[in-house]
Amino acid sequence: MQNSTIIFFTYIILFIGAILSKFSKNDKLTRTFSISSLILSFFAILDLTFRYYRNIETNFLSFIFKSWSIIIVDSYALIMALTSVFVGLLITIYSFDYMSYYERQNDYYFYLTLFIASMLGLIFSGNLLITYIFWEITSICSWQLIAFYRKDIHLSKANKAFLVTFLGSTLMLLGIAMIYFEKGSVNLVDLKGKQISDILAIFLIFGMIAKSAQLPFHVWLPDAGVAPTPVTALLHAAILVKIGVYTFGRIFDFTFKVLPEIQQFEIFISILTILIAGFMAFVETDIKRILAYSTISQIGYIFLGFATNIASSIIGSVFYIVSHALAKAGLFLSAGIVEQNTKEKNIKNLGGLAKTMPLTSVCFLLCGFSIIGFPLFGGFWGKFFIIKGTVETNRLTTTLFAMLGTVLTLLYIMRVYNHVFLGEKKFEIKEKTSSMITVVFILTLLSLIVGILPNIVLNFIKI
Amino acid sequence: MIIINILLPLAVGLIFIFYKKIKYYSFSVITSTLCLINSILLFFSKYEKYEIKIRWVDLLNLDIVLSNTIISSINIFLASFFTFIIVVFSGKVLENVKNNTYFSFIFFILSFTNLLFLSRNLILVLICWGILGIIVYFMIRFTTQKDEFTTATKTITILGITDFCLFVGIIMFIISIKNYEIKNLALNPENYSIIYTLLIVGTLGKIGIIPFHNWIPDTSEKLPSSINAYLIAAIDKIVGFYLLLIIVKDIFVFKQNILLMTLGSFTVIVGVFMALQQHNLKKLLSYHSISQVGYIIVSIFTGTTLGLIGAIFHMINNTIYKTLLFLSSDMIEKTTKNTELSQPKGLVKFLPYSFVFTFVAALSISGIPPFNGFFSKWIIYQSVIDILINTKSLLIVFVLISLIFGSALTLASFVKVIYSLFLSKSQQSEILQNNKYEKFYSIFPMSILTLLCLIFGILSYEIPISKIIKPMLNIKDISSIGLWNAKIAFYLLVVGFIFGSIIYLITVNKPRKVKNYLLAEDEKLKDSVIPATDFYLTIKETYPFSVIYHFAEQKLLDFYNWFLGIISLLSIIIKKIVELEIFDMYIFGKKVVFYFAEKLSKLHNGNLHFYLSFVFIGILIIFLIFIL
Repeated sequence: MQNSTIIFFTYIILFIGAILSKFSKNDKLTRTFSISSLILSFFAILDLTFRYYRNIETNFLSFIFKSWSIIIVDSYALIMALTSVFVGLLITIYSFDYMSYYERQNDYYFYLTLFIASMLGLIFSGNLLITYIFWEITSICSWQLIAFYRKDIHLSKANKAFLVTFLGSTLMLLGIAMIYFEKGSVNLVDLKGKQISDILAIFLIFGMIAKSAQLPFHVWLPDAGVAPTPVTALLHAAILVKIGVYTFGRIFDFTFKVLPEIQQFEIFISILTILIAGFMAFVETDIKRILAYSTISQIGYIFLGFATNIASSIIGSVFYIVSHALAKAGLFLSAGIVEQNTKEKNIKNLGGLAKTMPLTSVCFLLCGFSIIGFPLFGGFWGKFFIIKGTVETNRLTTTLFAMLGTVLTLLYIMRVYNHVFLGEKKFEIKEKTSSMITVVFILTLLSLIVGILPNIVLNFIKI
Repeated sequence: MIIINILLPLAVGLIFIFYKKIKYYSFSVITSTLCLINSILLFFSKYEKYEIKIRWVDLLNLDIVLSNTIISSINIFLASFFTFIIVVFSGKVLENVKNNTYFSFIFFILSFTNLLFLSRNLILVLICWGILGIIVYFMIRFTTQKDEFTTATKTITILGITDFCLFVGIIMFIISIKNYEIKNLALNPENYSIIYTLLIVGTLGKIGIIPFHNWIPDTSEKLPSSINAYLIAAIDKIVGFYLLLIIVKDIFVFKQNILLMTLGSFTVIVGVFMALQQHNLKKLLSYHSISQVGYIIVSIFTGTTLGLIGAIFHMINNTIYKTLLFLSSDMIEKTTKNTELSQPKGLVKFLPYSFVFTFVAALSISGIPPFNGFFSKWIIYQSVIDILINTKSLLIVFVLISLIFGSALTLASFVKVIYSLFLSKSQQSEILQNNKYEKFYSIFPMSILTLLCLIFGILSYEIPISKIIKPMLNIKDISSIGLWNAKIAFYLLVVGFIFGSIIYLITVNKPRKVKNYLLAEDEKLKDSVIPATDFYLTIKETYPFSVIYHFAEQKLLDFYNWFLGIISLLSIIIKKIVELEIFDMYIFGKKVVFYFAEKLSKLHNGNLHFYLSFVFIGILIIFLIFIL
């Protein structure tokens, strides 16, 4: 099979799966269509990855339409695709139990699968306009998923998320249009190595930071916590917020040459985001909002790595995309188990759950350790390479602020853990949802594995 | 051979966690004995080099390189020896402490400590260092009688902050020097001041120097004393000192650092002053532990060979007598169910061996000859005096006075301990009467340590200095160590003691004991006991100590509390600012849109002349665009 066919297959099968989920008559069938398409897509990407590393075809970069190079495949795209589909797959399995109590499951699985499909479309897109189209499809899906419960509060928060990200993407579209008029192409292959002006870069950056909830566009993400937990895990950990950083890396590290002042601007935004979101997470009391601020802060590190723009820091960012996705999904899904069992999100009203939910407690703590960046966990290597990049470029102040951000991460993760799982027991609840716990356990285990054997990810990254 | 001491304890630790039908104590004794034997073999074959190399991170060209040097072999021996001592001692652990977690954490610590000693690259050292911090966190939570998570969090936060310093320091080092390996580089600290500072701060956090000391008293109060003996008295010091030695001696040029000497002397004084006023034995010992670390820091940063010898010798001695003191504390805790000094215990009748052990350890820590603590302190004083002669600095005078004063106060503090625990009138005699608390498994390891206190004091040249420190530092001539002749001093002391006893027996008048009652005494007062905790109240009430103690009691000298307070305050301020409407893009945007929409809606009021005006203005704009 041609590589290009496999790439198309990876997301076409998801689109088909999404449509079949929407129109199937019963919930079981809905779930089957969704999960089957995800499994097929995952194996297709895995096959593609093996082909890529075995160099089966030398002309791997396939152009379907000669004038519109719409597909781009490199290690960066493959790692991102594998992470997104794998975490998406686990979240879907987790949803079987979590969402079984709600109606309109066909809607849920339709948007969920469509979301992952559009993500893949975006990842493999080699054309800015196509990127934008998939970008907006993800916005619509996230809008629908955040508002899934259909109450006023959910609708207003979903609107907020949609409008803020839409404002950013409109600016990005303006940037793309200007690129077309200035350079005569929106193909990434044609644009490789070209210099873009400051204003163009700023427009594009606004789109990306809005999607990745960086300052000052961060306001939508903590509020998006009203969505069902698997959705928040999907938005925060694996997919939605990673779109912005992925595209940032694709455009500013792998395609264009960027002026130093733009680089400096993005580093400033990243550091500001890391610190302010870290401080916010330290005083919040809603577990989902804390984790949302944590996401904002940690995405700041990924941006920092890409903005520093040297081999070491880019490797760090790509690695951290993977390790953060695993650990943050683990954290959110653990929080979901807590929330579903206790119907409580305020950490001050929780406590002592380690005694009744030991596995969830251990998984939460270990995923937290990964996010903090403790040795032997995935987060350690991500932060190691990112910080190494800042030191290599002689940015000592940036390094120190980044380390302060890590200290803040340590403080807020331990605070949440202590409030929720330790201390006085306030709920008599057992860990009854085995499929949900299995998913969380797999994510925790993987967070540890990528920390102990970082070559699994690092050897895939080719810059 | 070298990986046995890593894999064996790791495997046993994991078996204990997952397989619960096992005789933990027997298995632990066997494992620790095997590790000790292997470490002895490694120590005696120290000139034979073993090396293991496994590729780990391709992108960094990073290998896991394990090899034994003389320093690592000695440290592995020390770690294995103290593990053996603690394991043998732990025939009975405290109630409510699970045996499997207790022993498994001990073995995890031993495994990663040995990995750290054998690792030849800094990233692996950093990783082991971090893992040890995580194990300490879990150890505090799972080996305490109830989950002491607040203390555990405090510990992991302080250690985490210093670990992050080490993390950045090592990254900066790797980039500047383009080298991961631990080898003799002899860099000038002045040229790499930031890296040097970060690495030193990272190391001092674990050793527990001021201002990173606060986790130690809090932790030791909660942990079982045997774990304190292992963690705070032994392993933390051995590991921390090992890394400090590598940084100041191998990576950088070994140099004098008056700032760190002053910090060390400050730690001695603050530690001992805090110890004086403690009501809890474990907390008191932990403050002494901090104080003794101050001596080591002063000595090492004198930048002289004599200072280095003094530091290593004092580190070894400190580990021995501090472990012994914590083990005595464990005996007392198991016997009386508490370690409060405010309740006189009079345990000399019930724990006679423990009394002797504690007494010897107290004399050693106070620097009384002929015990080991004296000679190492003697060397430290000599090295500081050498610096004083060369520099004539007032600061060094302060350092020297602090050290001597610290020693005197240590003795004063232990007078209180010995009185309260052993020599005062017991209020619990009846409860303790019928129990035999001193079992062989506890006496045996404590006697070894007691003997070491004596042997390392009397035969200091022959054993610790010649067999451990000399090869460790590769020193050929040890004649410069000083004028002290431990053996002659010991003989003179013994002779003096014998003469003194004879004179006492001959000359003393034994008073006639008559029970008098003059109808005026208060019967209650006759049997009253002065609490040892009141011994030094005068110091506490004297200005300026009264102010310092007041601040300490209010936890105002706790760096961790200050740090958390500042972070909380900043967080609240930032939250207030960020939540202002002007910073909420969505609300702000919504307001702007509604403002303009409202203005525009006023223009659309249904009057024809308004609409005709819009048409006219529109045509005009289009016309202008076309013309321009």
